[in-house]
Amino acid sequence: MSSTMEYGPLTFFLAVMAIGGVIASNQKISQLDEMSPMRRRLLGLFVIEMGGLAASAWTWMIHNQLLQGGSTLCAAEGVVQCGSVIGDPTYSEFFGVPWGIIGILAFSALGWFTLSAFLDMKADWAKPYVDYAWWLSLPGIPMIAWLVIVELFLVDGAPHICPYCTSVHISLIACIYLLHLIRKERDAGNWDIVPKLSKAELLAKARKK
Amino acid sequence: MSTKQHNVHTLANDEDADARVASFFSISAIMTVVMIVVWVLAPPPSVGVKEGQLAPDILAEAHYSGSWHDFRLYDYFNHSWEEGEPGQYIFLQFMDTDCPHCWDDALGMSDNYNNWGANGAVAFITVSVGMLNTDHSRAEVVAFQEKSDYEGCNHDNSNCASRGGDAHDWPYVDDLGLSAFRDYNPPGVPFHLLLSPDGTVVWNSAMHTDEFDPLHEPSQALQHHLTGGGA
Repeated sequence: MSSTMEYGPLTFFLAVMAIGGVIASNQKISQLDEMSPMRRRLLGLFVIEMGGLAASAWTWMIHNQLLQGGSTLCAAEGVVQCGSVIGDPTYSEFFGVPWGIIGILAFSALGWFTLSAFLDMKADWAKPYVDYAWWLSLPGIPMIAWLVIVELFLVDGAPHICPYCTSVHISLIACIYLLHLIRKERDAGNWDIVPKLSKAELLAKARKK
Repeated sequence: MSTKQHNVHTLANDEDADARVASFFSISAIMTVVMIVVWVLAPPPSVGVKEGQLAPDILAEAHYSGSWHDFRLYDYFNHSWEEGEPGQYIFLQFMDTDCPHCWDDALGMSDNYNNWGANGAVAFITVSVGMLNTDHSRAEVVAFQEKSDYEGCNHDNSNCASRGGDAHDWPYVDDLGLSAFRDYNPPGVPFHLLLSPDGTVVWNSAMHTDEFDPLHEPSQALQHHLTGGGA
């Protein structure tokens, strides 16, 4: 199996999540200057959620391949591998549903709440939508804890670390952290404050036009 | 009438409805792309008991060589097998130690095993289910398998040692809890499946119930698929 197929998508998913993190961190990005800090947080959150969705879909694909034999999408040997974790007959599913599908559905729902709020922050429902996303993401904490225990202690030949599963966990933890931050800032009254530009920034902007 | 008016009023005044709809369509578009990628690169296999489907996995304990062992059906599969290559087929029987038809089927199973299983061409596996509302136990399963002295087989009316055929020298899976039974959902017992070495169902007894069907009997199906007539 080529390492491009093995780790290429993983690098891509992690890069998407990192980009989302940079957007949400409110570091200076000239293209996003006009966005309020909260709007940037929502955009960053949405990007991370889509990274999580893509990584979840990849784990589902690995699961599908493992049902029919080996997988060309992830390593099957060593400590860091997917075969023993996603291919485990007992722990790779939740009430008969592969974890990848659960991840796809969860990140889609989170993405819908986030994108709705991002597209119309002034709407009455926008602020509660952040709460809905928050409550929806919380069951992910015990699920992640359980899956890490499974990886480290319960699967055949444990411990194993499944890199794609870990990227999904990272994505969900980042979402929970950002939602916590967004709710905190919203409750402090910083929901949609347009950033004030300095004179120099205003001049530079006018020159660009 | 008043409800209709209310709905029209609500929609007309809800300036925000389109943001949520736009969001829904955006997420749907992303999901569509994701599903296309999944279906192109690694579609979910068709798992089931119809001919052509991948047989569902069975995780349980099985009795063979005098003791109980962990059992996984998928351990028997060779996923890289391709049609025309040599490989071991799998013959799966679902039965209940208290079912009279299964009692009669034991002789046929012995005959088929002697013809196809003893030489290693086919791996025989019996899944012993607790389908009937009678007393079941692992001791009864083992007695049925080994044809040993135990009162309670055949609807609790017979001694297991008196069933037809030889002692069965292949794994008997404990499914008294009906876990595999639910996954396979057989129309009744005995129920037989012949799987190709890669786990694909090539013959399902429930799909050949007509007695004039040339593949009606398990022996006919084994003959057909293992002598190059099918597979």
